[in-house]
Amino acid sequence: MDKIEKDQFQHVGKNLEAAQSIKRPSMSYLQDAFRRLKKNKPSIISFWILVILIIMAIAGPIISVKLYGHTYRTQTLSLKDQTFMLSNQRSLKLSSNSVFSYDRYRPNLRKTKLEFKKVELKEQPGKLAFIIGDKSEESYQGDQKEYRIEVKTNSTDNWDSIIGKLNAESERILKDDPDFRGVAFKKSGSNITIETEGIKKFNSRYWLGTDDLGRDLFTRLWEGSRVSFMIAIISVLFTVLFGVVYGGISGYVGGRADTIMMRFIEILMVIPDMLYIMLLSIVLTRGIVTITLVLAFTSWMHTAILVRGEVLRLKHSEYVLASQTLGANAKRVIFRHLIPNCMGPIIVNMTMMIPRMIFAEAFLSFIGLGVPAPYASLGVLVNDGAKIFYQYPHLLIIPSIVLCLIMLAFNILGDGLRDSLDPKLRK
Amino acid sequence: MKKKILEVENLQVSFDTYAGEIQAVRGVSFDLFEGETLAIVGESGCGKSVTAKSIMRLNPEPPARFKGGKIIFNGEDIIAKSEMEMREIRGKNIGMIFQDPMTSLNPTMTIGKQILEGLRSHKSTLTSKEANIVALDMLKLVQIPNAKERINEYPHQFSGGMRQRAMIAIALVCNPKLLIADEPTTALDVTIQAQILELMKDLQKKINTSIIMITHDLGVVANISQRVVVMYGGKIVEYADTDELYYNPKHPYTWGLLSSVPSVDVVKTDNKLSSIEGTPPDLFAPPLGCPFADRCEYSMKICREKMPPHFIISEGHGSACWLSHPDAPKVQTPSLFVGRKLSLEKRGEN
Amino acid sequence: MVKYILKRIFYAILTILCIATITFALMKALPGDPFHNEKMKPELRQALLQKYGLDLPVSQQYFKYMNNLVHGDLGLSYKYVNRPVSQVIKNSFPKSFALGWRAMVYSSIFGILFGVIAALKHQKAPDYIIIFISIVGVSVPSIVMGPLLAYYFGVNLGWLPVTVDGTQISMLLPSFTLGLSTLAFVSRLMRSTTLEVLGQDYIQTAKSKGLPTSKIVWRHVVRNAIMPVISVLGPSFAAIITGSIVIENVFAVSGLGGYFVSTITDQDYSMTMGITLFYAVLIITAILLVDIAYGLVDPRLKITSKGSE
Repeated sequence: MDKIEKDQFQHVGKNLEAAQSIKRPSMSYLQDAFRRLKKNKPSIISFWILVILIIMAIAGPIISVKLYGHTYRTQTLSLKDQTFMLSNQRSLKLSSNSVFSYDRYRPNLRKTKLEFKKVELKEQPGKLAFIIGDKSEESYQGDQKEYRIEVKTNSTDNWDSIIGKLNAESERILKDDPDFRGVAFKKSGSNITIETEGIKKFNSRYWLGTDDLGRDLFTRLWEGSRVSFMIAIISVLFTVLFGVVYGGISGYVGGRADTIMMRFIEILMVIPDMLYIMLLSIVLTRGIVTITLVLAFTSWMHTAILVRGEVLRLKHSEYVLASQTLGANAKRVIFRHLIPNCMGPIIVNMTMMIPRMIFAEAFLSFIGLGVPAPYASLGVLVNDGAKIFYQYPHLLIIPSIVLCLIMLAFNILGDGLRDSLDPKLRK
Repeated sequence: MKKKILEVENLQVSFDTYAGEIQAVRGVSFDLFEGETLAIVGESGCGKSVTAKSIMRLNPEPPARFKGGKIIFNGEDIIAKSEMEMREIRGKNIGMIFQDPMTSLNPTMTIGKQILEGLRSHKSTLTSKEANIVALDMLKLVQIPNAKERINEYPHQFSGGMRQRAMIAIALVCNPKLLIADEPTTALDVTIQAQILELMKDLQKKINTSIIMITHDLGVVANISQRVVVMYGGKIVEYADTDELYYNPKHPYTWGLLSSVPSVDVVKTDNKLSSIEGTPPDLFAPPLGCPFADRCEYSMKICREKMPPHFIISEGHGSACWLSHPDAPKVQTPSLFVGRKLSLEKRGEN
Repeated sequence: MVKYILKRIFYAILTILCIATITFALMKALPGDPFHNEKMKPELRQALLQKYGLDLPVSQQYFKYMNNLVHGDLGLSYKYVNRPVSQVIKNSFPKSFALGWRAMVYSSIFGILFGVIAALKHQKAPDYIIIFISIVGVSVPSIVMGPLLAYYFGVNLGWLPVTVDGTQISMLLPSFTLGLSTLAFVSRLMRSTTLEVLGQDYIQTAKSKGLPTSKIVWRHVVRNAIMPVISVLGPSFAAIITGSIVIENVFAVSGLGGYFVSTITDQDYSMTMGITLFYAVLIITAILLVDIAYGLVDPRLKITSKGSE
């Protein structure tokens, strides 16, 4: 054992401050929850996405009206079915062909590109003809012009010479018409692709294109978002209001009144909510107000049960007892203790309900019980878009992206809120 | 000479967490012999549970990590073993019972099945009939009434004490050499506590198993153990035979622990409940010197600077305290213990 | 145990009666009567009203209605006078059912599987993938998912047929889309219950017995974690039914769901109500069966005689 200096044995005694130092900073429940939420990256991203979407929903239609005079209901039939990317590509159709055989033939959505799989040149001479442009009423270019480009081949022709003939012929026919740019012919392996040329540029009048009635999609999108948000948020507010009051009273009062109130809810709840919504929507006149009320009416029960559960749990908790022992009256107990502690699950509940409301509204639109025309909501837009998805995909994809973003963001945010408000998950 | 079945030497276990390294066990050494009961005493957070679970490698690794030291059980190095090898040992050679019998049993399996599980997985040569008989015998051994019907019941149909007995049955069904009991009586009523302790002593004699009893209850220690180890701040601060510790403790922390047991002796204790002021150290940043120094009224300059080694007080009794250094100033043992020692000696004389 | 089952059956019947009554009330609340076609001659109209019993006082109509229901008669369509609702249902439901049970089975089985895997590999790659799938499944409604999947897998890649023609593979895409939201929901729930169970003390006890991981996972983890999930499968059946309304329209399936939408646009309200009532009975029956199954599995409900002392 080493020798120890005499002065090392000097008496020092307790140092309680050091003994009791808490090495981690303390903070209130809300501060802690907020801190945890901030750390949760997906939740923060979702929050900002929602903020952006809400700002757009408010500002979008205003910008649109100021700049171009578009509203959600003005129709310009001659400019219908445009996308956000305009091009003067013309549609293309195979008119007659005895030059090559192929395995599969596929036009793209707008028929500006044709693909032939596994082609093989036939040895005999033949005729090959395409029609460029579209005279039918559905033509999206709207001017109903079309030209026929035809070439004849002989037995000495190979792919290169056929290309040359096609290009020469199309130039000859189309050179005087600036709207038609010609045909591009590509071969890769055993597939050939035929594309009409065109200049693509962003649609400057209709930023996101138009729908099948010539209405501006940008305006309708944000108008629709407004409507969807409003329906969702207002019905959630009603739900929470009614649910909190009902559940709060039921839980706090307890006893027979509580039992009766709960029985009533049970009976209401057994009926599946979608059916409820449908039945009520059928009976009442269609409209935004109806939908809001119907949605609220079918969801308040869940909130009531949640609130009642929280109140019951807290009613018997020790700090309520302690506060009552210290002489707090009922009002103080409710406001300072019960409600702040309930708020967590209620807020989470609210956040998760909003996407359900939006989805329910979309579902109603699908069945035809949604927001009536010409009003738009995201549900209406998605449904209309789904009907002509194969021809004009932008009408489905763009509203879908916004709809899914909203639902996704609320779901993730709700999850994050739930995790951060749960004291058991403290890290 | 009794056989040594467990040897723990300078065990160091840390947990790697988001916030950093928590040094839960900082150099713990003790031995355990066949058929004896060793108690590990300490406050919450002193590292006793982690130590015990380390013997069975029950701490999830990560985040737990063996920083150093050795655990030798039956001559085999536990730390070097693979998970597969540990599974062989768990349940068969070492059994464990836990603190809360309510949550430690699977609510969706019958008690019988839970006993059989361990049995069948280690003694696969038994036929199911034989296994059932063994399980039933085990239940009877832990004194569950109506064992034959009870064996097919679910945990929620058992009372707290009965559940703990069932846990003991599950842990001992394969006749392990070592039983680790992690605060088995803490969640039970006092009367049931006594029953469970009696049962354990009884079974220990019948099966000749050694017991490590983890507890913070000094009454339990006195009842069941032959030797005691006192832990604080991840280290052993004192170790001794049980009697020796009660009548001749040498570490200020032990003094504090023993005096905080409410005594019926009104005269000696001035009607005050004595407790040790302060809280245990945060193991994120453990102190350099003695972990108890900040709470110790006898602490000296050296206590804060250097960790005291174990000073031998007598055979089998050591105290990690600078007060026990030969050059340290003599400190008067608190009157409580002096009285006890005298009365013990008196009793010995009679 | 028996008491529990009987209680559940009683509530189920009570609920069906309630819904039938509500349906009836709503039907009566609709403005006008179904025959407000000006072209119709008054005598014809009167004859039809009599045939449908619509000229009787409301309370008598109610009893007739209830009586008919018990005999499985859901009334006649208002638009197509000779078409009984129950016949329409009988004809078109089997197709819906074929999609529905497939969706139900695959979404519950995979949902549970995914949930367990995600929990066991917590915060590693499989967990994140599964969470992603479940968030997508919940956030992207079938109205969007349907056409998207149909286009990409059906038209563009040509892997799967887009319309249902009775073959097994043609049902793959529709039933997959139908069950997607349930799959997402179940796997999410299963993951969180499994995570909770993994932190329980009895898992530690199981480990201390030296049991192999597979046994621990099956007997201890899954068996306990699956309880809350089973009780949620009943209502998710409702989601599949309402989902079928969308899917059948998207994939052009001539089942009940597809037909349902047209009844609304046609304003054939007796058909709408009849189908709705049928759906309601279906859902309640499903919930009842699930509740009974739950009662058989949860030992706390299994044994009610011996309590703990």
